[in-house]
Amino acid sequence: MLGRPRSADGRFATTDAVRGAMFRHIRHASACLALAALTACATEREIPFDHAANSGIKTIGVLQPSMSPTPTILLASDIGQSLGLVGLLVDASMQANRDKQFGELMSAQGVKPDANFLADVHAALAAHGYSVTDVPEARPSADLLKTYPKGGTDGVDAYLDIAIVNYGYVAAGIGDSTPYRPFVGAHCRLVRASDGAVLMQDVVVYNPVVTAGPQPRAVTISPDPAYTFKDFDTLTADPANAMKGMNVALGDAATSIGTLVQ
Amino acid sequence: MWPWATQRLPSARWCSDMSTALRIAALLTVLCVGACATPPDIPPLLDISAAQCTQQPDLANAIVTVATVDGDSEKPRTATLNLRSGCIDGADGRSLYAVFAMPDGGPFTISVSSLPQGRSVLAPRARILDAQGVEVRRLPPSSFLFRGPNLTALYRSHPGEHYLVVSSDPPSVGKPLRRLQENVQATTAGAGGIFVTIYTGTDIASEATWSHNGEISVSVVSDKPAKK
Repeated sequence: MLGRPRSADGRFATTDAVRGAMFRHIRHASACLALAALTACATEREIPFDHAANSGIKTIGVLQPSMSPTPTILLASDIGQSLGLVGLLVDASMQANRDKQFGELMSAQGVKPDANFLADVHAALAAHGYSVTDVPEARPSADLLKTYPKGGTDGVDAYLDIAIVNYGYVAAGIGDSTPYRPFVGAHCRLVRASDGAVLMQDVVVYNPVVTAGPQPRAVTISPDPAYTFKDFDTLTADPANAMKGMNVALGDAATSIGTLVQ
Repeated sequence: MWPWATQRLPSARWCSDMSTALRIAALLTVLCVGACATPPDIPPLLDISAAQCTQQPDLANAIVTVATVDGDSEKPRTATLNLRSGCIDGADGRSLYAVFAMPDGGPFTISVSSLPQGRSVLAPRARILDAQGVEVRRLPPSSFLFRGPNLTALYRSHPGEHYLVVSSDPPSVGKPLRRLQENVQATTAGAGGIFVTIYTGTDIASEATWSHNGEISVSVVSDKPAKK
């Protein structure tokens, strides 16, 4: 039976802690439902890159992408979401456990998804003929930057700003018919270094979880069926393959971002 | 911004954050219970050897597009490709096509989509002609990306680009297309004045074939900022 939440040292949780847990639950429930739907209102409209009009863009400075070092293991729908606060609390606890367990497996495997993704972005841009350089940049938030270095960095014609909003594995629901598959959600923007003009802006989602209603215009990538895990136990039982699937998803998202600046 | 991107929030902001989260949850619930239109299921057209083909597209029957400003509802123009459509005999085979005439002015951001029709999806390619019908450029095939259910290319217009010719891509026709789609549905049930929203998920694989036939949609949005 679920009792009153306790903190790590065994005392009953404070009101703020309960509120925090409740908010995380609601946020989680929203997140699960919104994997794709919110892309519709996540950014301004898509701006396609006009290569012919910007043929002077030869070197792209990739701003250090905004990306959590640890993935999320989402269950997009379950009973708990329907059972009010108690259900939400249980849900959040299970979510935290899944994230922690997967994070530990990832560390044990020596996988660094942020480093892998950055290497994939380099490769994707190089495949379209660009020279690529990394540009360290402090980020005040988890989303795309509001302003960019004025006047540009030496030798950089444009900045590529990427925010990985979330990534990891998601299952649409409980049961074997809704397995865990890798997912990635990314916002991206290419900005001319000399004057800050936005040359490309888009959203890329690998394996979106779709809700009814208006469909987003984000670039959507169907997940690779090779990385299908019927439940969380199966996912964690094959960590090498699980990490490979996550990296494939990040790589495919990077490839799509490269295509958007071709 | 996706709300779950922020890992922790100060408790002082709890009320407003909570309110935002609830509004988002409510909005999503409304979205989830909304009706979902099912596209028609049309068999793929793989053989167009009987079609009467020409060497050049017929520009006289171009579909006139309408430009809208950013923020307004787009006014897409559509064309259905089937055996009654125009046919071009090209270097790599025969293809069905439709021609769209662009509005005067610009610059525009143009969205070209192939809309799946159940088992068939038009394998699209697109080229741009000037007012005399001379090819100015082609959109790279890789610029067609799935955006939601539709295969879409976005591009920005250049001066002198008058026509957009969208046609089937013979080398791609007949190849299979398999996509996986995860979905979440919300169902609200009530009894005795108590209402509960139940969320369920599905994971569906769809099989289709790249084909000569299909539905094309073209939207034109002005790049000029809307008047305030």
